[in-house]
Amino acid sequence: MARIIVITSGKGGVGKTTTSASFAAGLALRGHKTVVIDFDVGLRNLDLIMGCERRVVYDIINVINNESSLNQSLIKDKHCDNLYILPASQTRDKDALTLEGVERVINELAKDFEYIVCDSPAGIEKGALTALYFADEAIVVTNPEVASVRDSDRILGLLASKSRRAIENLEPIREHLLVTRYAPERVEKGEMLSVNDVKEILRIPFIGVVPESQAVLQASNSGTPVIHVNGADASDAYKDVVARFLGEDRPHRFLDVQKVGLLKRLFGG
Amino acid sequence: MSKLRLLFNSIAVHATMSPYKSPFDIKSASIDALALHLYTLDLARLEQAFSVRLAKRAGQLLHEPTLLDLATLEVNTSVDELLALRELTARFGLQAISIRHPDPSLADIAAAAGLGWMPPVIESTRLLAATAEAIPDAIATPAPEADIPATTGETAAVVAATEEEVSVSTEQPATVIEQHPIAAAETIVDKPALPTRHKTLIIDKPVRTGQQIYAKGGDLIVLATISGGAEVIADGNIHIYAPLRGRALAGAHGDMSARIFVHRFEPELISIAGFYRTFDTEPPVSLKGHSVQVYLDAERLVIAPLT
Ligand SMILES: Nc1ncnc2c1ncn2[C@@H]1O[C@H](COP(=O)(O)OP(=O)(O)OP(=O)(O)O)[C@@H](O)[C@H]1O
Ligand SMILES: [Mg+2]
Repeated sequence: MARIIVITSGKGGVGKTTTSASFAAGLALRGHKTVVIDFDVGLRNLDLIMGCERRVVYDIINVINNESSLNQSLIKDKHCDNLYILPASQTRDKDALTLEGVERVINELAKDFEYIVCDSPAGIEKGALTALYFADEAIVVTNPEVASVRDSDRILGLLASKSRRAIENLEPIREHLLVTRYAPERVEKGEMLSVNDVKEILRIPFIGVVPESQAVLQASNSGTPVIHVNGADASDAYKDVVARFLGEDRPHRFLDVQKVGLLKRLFGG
Repeated sequence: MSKLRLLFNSIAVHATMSPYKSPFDIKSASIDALALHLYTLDLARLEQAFSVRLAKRAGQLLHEPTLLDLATLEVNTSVDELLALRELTARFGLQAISIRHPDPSLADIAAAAGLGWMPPVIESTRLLAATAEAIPDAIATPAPEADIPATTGETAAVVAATEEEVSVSTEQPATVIEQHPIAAAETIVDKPALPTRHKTLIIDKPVRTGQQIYAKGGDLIVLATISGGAEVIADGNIHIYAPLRGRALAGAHGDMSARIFVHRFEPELISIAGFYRTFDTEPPVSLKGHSVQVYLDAERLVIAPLT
């Protein structure tokens, strides 16, 4: 049985697409056949971050409208073998993304793939509801600030009431809290909420933090999910997240301010 | 014309436009109305009391739906007397729609005067028809009208609350006006007030930002956190065995004996029977995060720690 995972947040710009790309790539690196779907119709940029924007011919809406087959629309990732991307349309109307259409696409994907990762658009409107509707699990991406946490709380309410699992009274969606763009120095200065604050407010299982990292922007600009940038802190963080998702017990990192060693300080690292 | 009738009219007009639909529908409706408690039917005395206490309303076309509560009176009233009473209250912007009295034989007289009849304990009549249910998306709640500054003591924070409540007194009070909901007409008509076990709604999942839970006609028990920006409402008591960070409104239909019990008190707003308090600034240290109960002492909202 394929697992459907939605990457969602409510608030915009918190790192959903960054996370979708690295998380999906991470599952593929661990040998799982994975597809990542861009639900952000009109604003697609998952393909940019995955570096496949020049290979988009057909998109999910073409599949829904029977204008292309699923195989024609799926793009094979250039970085790893087990990964495919189903892009969003840049030009079509959002309303074309119907629940019935999406259900058909997901059912067909479920025959071939182990994991289906859904990159949700921001907001709590139809687009976000469509992205979370079929989910078995949700990674709730939150930045350590009040507005983002509030919106995540709202999304958790929708997961518990507006998803298929909620409506059909099935076992609830498994929720995971991922805190991204975390900067321990700013937490110490009181400029950001701490991970503990966020956990205390949202009270769902915590899957990890991704530190605020220069590497993310560089990787996005070069069309490579940051998880592939070996040695980068954000890459390690996403690998941990994937491992924990797959059931491994890994200690949490990147929670505290890195103490710069004396030698490093003297000789400038 | 009362709000209730206007509503029914609009349904009828709508129906005539569609040839396929039944020419009318009867639907349950719930309206907010004033209850005018009358302690005398001496119209001269009432008029005098009204002109003192309701002077601002005199001559205004407010048409506020009003329930004439005669429950405490041994009434031997006539159609003419009720018509005169209607006319009098109308002059003060109170549009009488029904009388409230235990004696059902008054129903005919009231009807002849163009008024409805309902038994006194309207609350329990409501409960007969009501089942507790969760309404996740917006429902109407009494909107707070003014912020009330709080005074806090060592052990209990006591807040004097205000409401649009007018009691008219001559020697002994002649009238009391209270904000009171009236249940749907047809739920009241043929159901006598029977003792009934109030249904309790139990919520064991978090109530998240933007969600609203309403326990209609009974108590509400919440076993998980109520987030900031979430709202729980009950016609009866509210018990919260978890942090309350959002809003809790008990006695939503005017039950002033309703209480709120909270395991961890960090709310945005609490209200009992419309008497409310906001916590724009944090609750006093003596209460924040503690277990407390909230109740009305006369018209003061009392927040006391549970020890
Ligand atoms: N860990 C990080 N460190 C630094 N920058 C980050 C990090 N994660 C994301 N960003 C940056 O934040 C911005 C928004 O990221 P992203 O597009 O992934 O967010 P999103 O939630 O998908 O946004 P939208 O709601 O618009 O879809 C991008 O510029 C991205 O490079
Ligand atoms: Mg995005």
